[in-house]
Amino acid sequence: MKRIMSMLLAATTLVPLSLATSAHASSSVPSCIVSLSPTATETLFAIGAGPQVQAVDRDSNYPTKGLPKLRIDALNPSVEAVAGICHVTKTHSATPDLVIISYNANQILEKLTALHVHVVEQDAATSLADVSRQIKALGALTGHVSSSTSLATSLTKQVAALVASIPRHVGKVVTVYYELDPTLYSLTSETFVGSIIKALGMVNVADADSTSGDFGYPQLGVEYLAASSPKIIFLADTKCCSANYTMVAHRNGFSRISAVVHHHVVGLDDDIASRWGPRLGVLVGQLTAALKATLNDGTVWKK
Amino acid sequence: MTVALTLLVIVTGGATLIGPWRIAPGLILGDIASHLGVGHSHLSALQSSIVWQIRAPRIALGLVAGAMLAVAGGTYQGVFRNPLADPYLLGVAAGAGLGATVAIVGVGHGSATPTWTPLLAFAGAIAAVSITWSVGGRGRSSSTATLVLGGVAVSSLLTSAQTFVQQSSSGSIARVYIWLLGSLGSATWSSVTMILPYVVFCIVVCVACARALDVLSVGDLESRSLGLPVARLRIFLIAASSLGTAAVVSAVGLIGFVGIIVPHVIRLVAGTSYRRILPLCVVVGAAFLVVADTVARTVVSPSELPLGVVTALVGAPIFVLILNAKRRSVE
Amino acid sequence: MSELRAAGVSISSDHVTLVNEVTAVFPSGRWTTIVGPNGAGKTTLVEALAGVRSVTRGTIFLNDIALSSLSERERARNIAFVPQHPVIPFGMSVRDYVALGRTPHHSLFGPPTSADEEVVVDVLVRLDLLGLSSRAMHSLSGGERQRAVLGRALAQGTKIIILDEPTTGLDVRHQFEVLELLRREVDHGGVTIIATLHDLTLASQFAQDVVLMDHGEVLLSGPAKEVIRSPQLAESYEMTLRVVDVDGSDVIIPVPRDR
Repeated sequence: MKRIMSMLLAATTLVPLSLATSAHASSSVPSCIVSLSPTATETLFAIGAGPQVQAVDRDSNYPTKGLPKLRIDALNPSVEAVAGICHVTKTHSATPDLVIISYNANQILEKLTALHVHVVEQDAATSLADVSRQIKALGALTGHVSSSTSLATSLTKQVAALVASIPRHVGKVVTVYYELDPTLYSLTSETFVGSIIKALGMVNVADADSTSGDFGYPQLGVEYLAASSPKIIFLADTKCCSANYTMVAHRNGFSRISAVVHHHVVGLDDDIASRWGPRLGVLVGQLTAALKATLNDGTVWKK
Repeated sequence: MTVALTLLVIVTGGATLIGPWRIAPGLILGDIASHLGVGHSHLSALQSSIVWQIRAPRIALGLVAGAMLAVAGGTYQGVFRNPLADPYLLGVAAGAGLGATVAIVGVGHGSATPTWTPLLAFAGAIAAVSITWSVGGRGRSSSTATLVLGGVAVSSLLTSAQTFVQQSSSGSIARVYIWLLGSLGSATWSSVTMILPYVVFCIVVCVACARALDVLSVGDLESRSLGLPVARLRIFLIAASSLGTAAVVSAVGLIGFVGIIVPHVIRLVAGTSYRRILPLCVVVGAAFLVVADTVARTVVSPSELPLGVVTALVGAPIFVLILNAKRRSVE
Repeated sequence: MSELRAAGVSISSDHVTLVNEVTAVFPSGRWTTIVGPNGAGKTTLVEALAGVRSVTRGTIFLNDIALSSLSERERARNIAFVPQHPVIPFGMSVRDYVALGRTPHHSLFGPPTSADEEVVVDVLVRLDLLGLSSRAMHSLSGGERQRAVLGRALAQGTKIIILDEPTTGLDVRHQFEVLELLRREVDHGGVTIIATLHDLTLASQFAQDVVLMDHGEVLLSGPAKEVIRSPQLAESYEMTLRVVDVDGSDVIIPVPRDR
């Protein structure tokens, strides 16, 4: 397990600056950036490019201060409006210097490229290496190379340290249930978060209850969950659906699950859990802390 | 008709001049004139791209979609002799929704809307109507009521299937929902040219059969006594209007109210004869959708209102007005 | 020659026999009325004669040509049909409604020709509908409406007109108006008329021949004066019928059996 993590870390030292599509690089520091990806927004502000961002999408809500007022719906963006963002704010009279998307809705990539706008597509990351790559790419694009490199490096180091801090626990299988919404949707190890959980040495109960038709997001059954009695429950639906220990404990069939009995139900911030940006370290930190707490809790392992 | 055409020209022209990116109308008009050979254009290359590559395809798609949906609605109303018929009656909407959902979900969490979303939506729509047709008695002497009931059954079945597929992949729920709401935002010249042949063919067929629809208004029995090939006409018209509607839905999603409202408004103004209603549907339907889309893309700029919401917000009050007017005239 | 002939015609629907082995001739240029109690199968038979309902067995011949072998338009150019409750389209003008009768004569996709227009105007004048021609059909009184319906049938310009209870819902004066109009077509136009009528007196006064149906079968057919006085007629209606001659016309007075 530790070897997997160190291999991932090694991979991040290679820096393939593969940009998604458009081939031309900006020659000067872009002053009109539009971010249609909440993850990219977080990264941009973390590396110091915040003042250059003129508009973000509706789901971009972090950092809490400093976000531009203009909002675009990333799932149905008005191409014309995006093209005219800086025209309207009088930042300059032409099209944006840089537009970052994570989903090519309304063929915005092709349409803006036809207008000679630099569009970069940063899909959901599938590995830690991806996360680093995307951060460094944004740094290069916005003229913040050094801050992006140090962010990527510190993130990687932070994750490595967290991983290293996990004590050996042969014989103790830590099963977890990661909840995406109260109707018991979960994710498998195919997904990015799932792969982190696996890399940390936890066993995701969703893996055994999923088929290919779920695309990595199966809906679990109550009987199955009760039978597998996971040791930890992670709630990634605290913001959308007010999930908390009390609500989970009162669900039919949950009262005898190990995580409920021993109070190892951990609430995660929905946004942090669904993004692959600078706050990834926070997520890994929460996962690790919960893992350690469970390992150290003798009552969980008493036969 | 001349009034309607003038209205259409004004609306189309207006729509070209308005948009989130402010370009002086004079410049745009000058550019249009230069294309017609009069004078020079003073639009920059960028402005020209905005107008002709982003705004104009959207307006064109709106014209095509609006015309087709209105004609399909009017035709269905004539074929079923029911003023509440709309182009989605026989399951086109449910089938297209299922097809699009399968496409969007099937690609998993890929970044781009797959290019086969329109194709699967189209296939789904056609399949749904075909199933309704065979379930509903193939439009034989059995009344149109069986066809409508068949449409209800098929729509329910396919809608529940669509919901099931949509729920199975929590990552793409929002994308499917956006598609279902309908939007002209994805318009490109190629999407317009892709559906144009279907729409033109279908509109021509329906308008040509307008007189036959007038005959049909005296009921199946008497129409047959007047020599009208009722069953064949029905198949033909249902096929044509469904095909055109399926093409439109595959490109713009589910836009409601156009198909049901526009023919009624025209009826209030121009009388109940289909030979006048259907051609007017082409013009008024096109104008209505372009107006709705222009409102949708400008009032909360840089955001947009979903087009289906705007057509309903505009359409519902008009519908109520019509119903009241009819009520008063009958009393 | 415009004669309709039913040969061994049976019509069933949902395993119920509505018309059973009917053989009858409806001679050219004459008025034949079909009478019989409710449920006798009269409507079913005339719909089949008009070609708007299919037969289960047997054949209907138009001048010795099987009706089913004609195209719909050809048939519509020869036979006009007026059902008991015609559908009145909302908002259609009288003129447009009458003009519907010209449908089998011009292309489905094109407008009526000037020849068609002339026929329509002629019919409107003949039926005294010219003043009403731009009125909406649904705004007419019962009598005016039935005239317009007849107008459509006449505009169809056929040699045979089949009507199912054409006097439904009309007062006495309008009943006579309609029937006299039809009789003129027979006498001056050589038109063949086949009509079902429930009023036996009217049936005998206007028709030349009468066909009696009951339980889906033809019981009797022949000249009106004879069929009216036949014992089978009284049997079918389960009443005693007294026939009284009033100034040369037969008046039938039904007398219930129990009295």
